[in-house]
Amino acid sequence: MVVLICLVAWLSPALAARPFRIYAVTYRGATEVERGFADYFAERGIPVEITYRDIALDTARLPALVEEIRRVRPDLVYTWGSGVTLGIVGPWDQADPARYITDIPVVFSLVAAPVNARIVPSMQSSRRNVTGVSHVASLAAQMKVMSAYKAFRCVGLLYSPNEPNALAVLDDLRAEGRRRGFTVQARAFATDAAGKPTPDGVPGLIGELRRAGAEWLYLPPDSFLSTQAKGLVVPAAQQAGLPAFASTEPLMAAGALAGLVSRYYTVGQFAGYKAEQILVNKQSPSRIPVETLTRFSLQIRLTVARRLGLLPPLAMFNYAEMLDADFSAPAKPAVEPTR
Amino acid sequence: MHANRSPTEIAESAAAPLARLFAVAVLVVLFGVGMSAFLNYFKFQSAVESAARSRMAVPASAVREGVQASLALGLPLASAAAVPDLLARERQADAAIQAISIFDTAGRVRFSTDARAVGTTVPATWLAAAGDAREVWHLVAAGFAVQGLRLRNSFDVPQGSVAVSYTTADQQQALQRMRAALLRIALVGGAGSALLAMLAVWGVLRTWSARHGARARDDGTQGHSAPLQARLAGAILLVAVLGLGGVSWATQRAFDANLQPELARKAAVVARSVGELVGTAIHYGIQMPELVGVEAHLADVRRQHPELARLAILDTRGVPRFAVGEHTLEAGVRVPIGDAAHPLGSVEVGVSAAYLRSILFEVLLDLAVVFVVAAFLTRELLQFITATDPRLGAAPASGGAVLARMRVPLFLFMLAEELTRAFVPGFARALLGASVNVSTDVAVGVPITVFMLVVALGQAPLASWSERVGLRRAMQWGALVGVVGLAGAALAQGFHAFIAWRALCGLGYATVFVAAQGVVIAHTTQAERTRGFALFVGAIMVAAVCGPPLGGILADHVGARAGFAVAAAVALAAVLAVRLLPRDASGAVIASPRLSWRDVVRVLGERRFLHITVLAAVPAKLILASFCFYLVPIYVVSLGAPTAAAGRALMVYAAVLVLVLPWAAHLAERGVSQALLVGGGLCVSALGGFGLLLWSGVAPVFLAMALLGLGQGLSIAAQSSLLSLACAEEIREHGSAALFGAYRLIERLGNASGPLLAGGLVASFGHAGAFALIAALVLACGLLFLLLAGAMRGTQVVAVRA
Repeated sequence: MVVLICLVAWLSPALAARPFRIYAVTYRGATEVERGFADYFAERGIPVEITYRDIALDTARLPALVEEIRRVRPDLVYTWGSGVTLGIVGPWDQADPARYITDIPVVFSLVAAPVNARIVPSMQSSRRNVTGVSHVASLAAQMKVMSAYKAFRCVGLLYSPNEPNALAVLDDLRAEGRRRGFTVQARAFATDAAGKPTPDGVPGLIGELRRAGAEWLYLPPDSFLSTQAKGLVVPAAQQAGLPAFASTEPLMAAGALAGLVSRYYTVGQFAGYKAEQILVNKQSPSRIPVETLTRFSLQIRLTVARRLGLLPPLAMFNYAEMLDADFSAPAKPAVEPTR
Repeated sequence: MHANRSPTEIAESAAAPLARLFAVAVLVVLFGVGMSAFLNYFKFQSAVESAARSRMAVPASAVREGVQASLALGLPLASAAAVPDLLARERQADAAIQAISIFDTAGRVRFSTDARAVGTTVPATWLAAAGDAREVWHLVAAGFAVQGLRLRNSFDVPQGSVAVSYTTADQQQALQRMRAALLRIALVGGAGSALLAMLAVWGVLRTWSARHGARARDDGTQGHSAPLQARLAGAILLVAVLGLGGVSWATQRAFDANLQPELARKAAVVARSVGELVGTAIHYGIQMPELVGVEAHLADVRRQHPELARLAILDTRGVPRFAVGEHTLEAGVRVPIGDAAHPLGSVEVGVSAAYLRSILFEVLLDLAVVFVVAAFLTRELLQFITATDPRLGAAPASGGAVLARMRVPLFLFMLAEELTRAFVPGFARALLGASVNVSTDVAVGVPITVFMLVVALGQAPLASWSERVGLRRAMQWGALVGVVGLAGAALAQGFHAFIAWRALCGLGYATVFVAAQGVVIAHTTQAERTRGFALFVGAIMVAAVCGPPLGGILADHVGARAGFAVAAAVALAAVLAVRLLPRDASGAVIASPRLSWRDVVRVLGERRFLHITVLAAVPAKLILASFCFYLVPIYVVSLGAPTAAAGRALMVYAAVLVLVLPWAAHLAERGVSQALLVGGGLCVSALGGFGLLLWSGVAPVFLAMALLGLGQGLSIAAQSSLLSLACAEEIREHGSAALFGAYRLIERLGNASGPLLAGGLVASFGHAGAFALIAALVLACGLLFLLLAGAMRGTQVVAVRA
């Protein structure tokens, strides 16, 4: 007995120092999110050993990774984006233990709409071994910022009719419009014979929105829209004199006038924080809510603002980050949307 | 009881009480002038402090925004390279800033404009202040103050705080100047009003004696001193109003002169921050005329800083391009935009005169309270003089004179206790500390309940003890115990010690109460007794009108501890005032029979007794104690209103009660049924409790207090009359002592349970819910009482017919 106690006493510091093993699965290589995730542990002095696996946009590789995770049995699995996360944990109501990871805690990051993607039944709890962070500001916060920039009574939207995510955003936007007193003009992308969206006729659709009274073009987190934003949608909007508001950093990078976006690095830190709750504080993932950030960056493209004759109101110089400016000002603070 | 005097006698003896009347007049006007100076001084202090705080909040939030932006960019707190520059820049915002520091959640200073501070740990008090706050924290130390803002990262986890520490030396200088100015004003104003008051008293006496003396000689009728007393009171109060007004007018000018520089400094800080924002926009290549949303931003800034009347942005030629607010007479503060080499324009900020007026209006509200207190004080003092001065015909050894003398220490002692009403629950909560859990709400009620319990259970044994040792002595000891209890409460460090001191206060209160009651019984005949008790109750009521608002004012400006200290001093004055009673005050005591358990059991067997005590007396005390002693002080302060507002609400209750009591007696005399008065009054008293569910803010509290005063005024006198009527048989067989003894005991236990019940309800249903639930309970009791009273009347009638 005494020997046993001595052994435990001798071993325990060694046990404590053993790094946590994390298995990270990414979609298109390491991003700022992973840097923020790893930096979080370093900053908090939590020893971790992260194994990275990348599927290079090919979700067919996921079942093999699930097998590997079963074999290696890490302390925690980290996933990037809706596709990877669904491939590892499955939908919440059809999580077959034979196909998905159910007995190892999973923290996801960069999932735009975790409920719509059926990763979790509600933001409060996944009711299973999963938690994570979203990177999109609430629609209410985005609309508030939009109207602070330029008050509007009608907002326009282009969406992919085959994406449940996009349809969900449209519903939410209409509900928000009823609350805040604005109307929504929505046009679906044209579709091919297979029902997939095509870029045909985008300038015409935008012209329709403009004529229907839209004062902003809202760019929701929509996969097809993201592929067409830079080359087609945003330039067409500018041509029509319609300001575009981006909901994610890539859409902002496509040349939108303004956007309330999260920094990928911070999203990674937040995922690290959730992982800390599980690994160090021994909390069950089902008891950790799925959350989005409380502070986002308001980005404004001044060159576009000038072209559209829509300079931002003075107060926004206090907190917005000006892109493509003639003058490189110091970093600007983030915006705190009211939740 | 009152000295009935012929006017001729007054005229002849006018010279004799003149000195005493002069003393009363001088005392009242000095009280008014002193309170006015006191209130104005503390208002000035809080205005200066809040101006400095909001001035420091400007650089503090600029630093916070900058640092939080770095955190959002993913830079850890320790390695944000731009932060030292940011701190150095913001330190220039105001000359009073000693240092701007950023410390982490462990209190380690990560950045500071004071290089020596980096790496050290901030004082524990800073960390505690920051830990308790969600956003903003503030603390004041000797010679400096700290304005803090908590830092959070992008997912709302606290990272530390920004702390702007600034010297308060300039504030102290401003306060010193104000003190000097107020002292001059108070001395001149006090001396002037005192002289005027004496002149007024002399004038009133002269005209009175001239007119009434002549008439009395002509027709030989006898006058009464009451109209004279009213005239004297009127004259004294008129002078007091003049004094208050004059001092306030003079203070306003001192206020203006001393606050303007402080406000100008704040205006400069705000102007600089607006200028920086405009400068940033211009640096981005936007020309001044192109700027969008400028008026909206300026209006927003003005909303945040109500002291500012006008904000304007001027171009390089000094032409106003954007402006909000009204023009001010005085030139505003002008701050350039951009550096001296490249001026971009300027920002002009004017200070608001309306703001100064609004501060002074708040003082006026307190001064109105002071005036009401002065009015009651005058009445009290004049009554004392008329009833005790042998030159005004009072026989010093007569019962009336003894009662008038007894009223002085009684009033003073009750005033001492009433002073604490508005701040006892808040002080108890502060002693409990920051640990907020469900039981805190209940715990806050414990000191009040303990006090009431000691009073309830102590009265019977103390009554017989006071008869043994002598009433005068008992009263003196009781008041002394009260002094010790109040002083102990002023110094109490812990919650348990505070409960113990409050228990001692309860012991003192009960002793003084029963001894004074004994004096009334000993010095009145059966016929005079009702009037004697009216005097006794009157003193307590006047104290209840004057005490809470004054105590609230004290708590707001000098703190609850100082409030207890002042209460202790007033109680000490009561100890000394007991000497006014003649030594033989304990002379003819009729030993009251003691209440035995057998009596209690017998009385409890009486259905009508139970009916009146359980359905009327206990609910009445329950609502009184839970509303007045617990809920109102806690709720009003929780709304962000000052403790003085809670005191004013309690004053409304007492003042309405004072006004309604004689009216209720009149109603009873005109044949309104006692049962209706009791039940109806109870229902009325409960109605206000529901108002808090309907409306927010302080106004419904005042309404509830007024209705409580009205309801209680209607029912309390009728309650005991009804009891003697309903239990006439018991009184015939055993006398009234046991009946009323048991009645008072049960009623006071209702008193004691009120705060605990209220605390429990607040914990579960919130303040408004607790008000409404207690009101509902009391309303139900009142309605049931009326119902049963109707039934009982029915059976009585049947019994009579049979």
